[in-house]
Amino acid sequence: MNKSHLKLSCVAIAALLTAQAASAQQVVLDVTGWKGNEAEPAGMSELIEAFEAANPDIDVEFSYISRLDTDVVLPPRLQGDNAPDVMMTDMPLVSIWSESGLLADLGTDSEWYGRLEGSLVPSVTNDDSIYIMPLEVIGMGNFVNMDLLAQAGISEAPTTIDELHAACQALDAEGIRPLIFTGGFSAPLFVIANGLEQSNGAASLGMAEEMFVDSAAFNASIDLVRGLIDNKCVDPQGQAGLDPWSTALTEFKAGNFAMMPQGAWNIGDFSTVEGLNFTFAPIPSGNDSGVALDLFGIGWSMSAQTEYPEEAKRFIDFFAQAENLQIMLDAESAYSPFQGGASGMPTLAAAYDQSRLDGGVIMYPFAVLDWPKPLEGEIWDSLTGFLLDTDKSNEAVLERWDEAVEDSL
Amino acid sequence: MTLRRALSWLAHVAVVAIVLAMLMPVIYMIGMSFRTSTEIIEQPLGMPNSLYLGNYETVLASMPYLRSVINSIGITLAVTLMVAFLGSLAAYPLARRTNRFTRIVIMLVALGLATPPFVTITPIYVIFRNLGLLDSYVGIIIAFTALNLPLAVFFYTSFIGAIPKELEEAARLDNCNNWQIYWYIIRPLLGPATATLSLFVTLMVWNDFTYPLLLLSSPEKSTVMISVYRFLGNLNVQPDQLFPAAVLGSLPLLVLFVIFQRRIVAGVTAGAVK
Repeated sequence: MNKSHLKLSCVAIAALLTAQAASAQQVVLDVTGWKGNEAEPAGMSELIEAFEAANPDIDVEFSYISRLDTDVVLPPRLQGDNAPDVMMTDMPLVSIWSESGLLADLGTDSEWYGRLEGSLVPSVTNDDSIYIMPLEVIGMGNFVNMDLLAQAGISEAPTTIDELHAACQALDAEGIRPLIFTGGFSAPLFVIANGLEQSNGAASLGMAEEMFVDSAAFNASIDLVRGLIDNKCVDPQGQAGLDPWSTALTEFKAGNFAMMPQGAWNIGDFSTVEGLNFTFAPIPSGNDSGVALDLFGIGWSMSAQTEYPEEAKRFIDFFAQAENLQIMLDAESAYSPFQGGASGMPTLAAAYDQSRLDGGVIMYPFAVLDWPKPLEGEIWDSLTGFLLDTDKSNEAVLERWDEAVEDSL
Repeated sequence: MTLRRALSWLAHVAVVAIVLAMLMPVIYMIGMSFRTSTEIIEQPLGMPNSLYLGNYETVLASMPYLRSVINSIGITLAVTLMVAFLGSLAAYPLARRTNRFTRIVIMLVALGLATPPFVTITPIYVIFRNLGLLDSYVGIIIAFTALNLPLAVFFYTSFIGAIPKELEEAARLDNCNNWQIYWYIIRPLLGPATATLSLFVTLMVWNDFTYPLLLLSSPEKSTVMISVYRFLGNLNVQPDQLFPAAVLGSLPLLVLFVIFQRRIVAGVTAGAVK
């Protein structure tokens, strides 16, 4: 072997060793979430790319698993000691998985913990531990087609029940269908928002300390629906079975209805519809501000089994930085869960913003575990049944809610 | 005679109407896939004014279509072959040796059919992790084969039971052993049952996304249904993306059925008329 061959061999070996050392340091983080697919991108690919650029020693392998399938696919992985390092979660998942010791405590000494909105802190903190880093708070309110309202001579989105009735009468007189009121989701949003606005708080109802059937606020809320039906705001039988996630959205986008209680996550999609002039307002209620029904939806949790806790924390902390989180908030039309009022809400949601500022905000009780998850389905089913048969008494509807609460205690 | 012709004509009309009703969702899916989002919004139940291909371009650009189709075909084919072979092999002695033991085995197999999938999902995952079969084609093929075997065994057991024993006795006189009898006498007679079973298994494996989602983590190993699944939102549906993705997801299977239509129909109907 001559000198040049020896040199070449040394260089090759050195390069090989360096490459091996580099690959040994490279960490692959397994991350799952129900955002970040084609239907709900949430800025995820952009954020992951930015994270990898800022952390060249970490590769992120992101898998999309829908919320529904998360319940099916992740428990075997968690029980099989092969959980993803970081998982998108919500409070119902956190309450089950943290109790079973499957999630790691992110630490109340985390930098971002001290910046969390005060209203969220009690919900996400569990005995000085925190298992979820909230990513967004998203509004649920009333989408209003302003062009259709203008045709009926109305210039502002209704925020009170009286204004809603007046709008319905004017719209009906013009032959415009006023309100999409699906038994699943839209009607429940309206009933829950109005019921909670007049009640003493959600927690006592969710713990069966107070009964729905005895609650004057929720009886009145169902009576409000009867009023809407009588005033031709709602065609109960025609809309009870509309699918809130597809048909109802298409109907609103097509301009077939003037209003629709729904979530702000639709703002991005609706904004792409040419000629659809809409606003996002609070749910009309007895108060002037209406109800801004806020949903604390998603967050990041770290598996207790992760081999890379430090890297997983870096990933989670990356999303807590204001400039990074803003990308997701913009894509989702959501509010920051941190103090300071950062928001991705566009100006067309000014009415909803104003309601929040005026104290009209109520947290969606399922997302903060004030109400048990099975009750949600029962409310949807019972209100669908009520819309199909409005002769049903309030008692018949609300008793089902109480039974669902009692069953889950 | 006229009445008979009228009845026959009515029967034909009824059949066409039923077939159309059954095909309506497929026609709707294909029609929607060629419509722009504006067209869909303006007239949700309408048919396309023109064949707009933009939806397909968008969807194909954001899914690894060819790769996932190849994965799906490979997995489905392997599972169907394994299920047909192992199922018939297991069913043969169960059908021929009727005693308490075989009856218990058949009951256990029936239990396998009745077991809800969520009961088995965690044990399967843990066993496959211990065997190092996660994120491998072999793993997913074994999982699907195991999940479909009870159906195959149950199916073949009753079918083999109806085959005359005299055929086997004749083969035995010619010095055939058990394996040769299975391979040369029983297996060829199972054609119609295999065709029907393969239809069930193929559809089940092709359309399932729970097990691929659970057992395959590498994106390059994902099946076509996993690729389609990414277009379904949690809280909304984008019809201009979902429908072309759904068409692309079912297209390979449809093409395969069209190509092998004659054989499949012949297989399914063989033995139906004596």
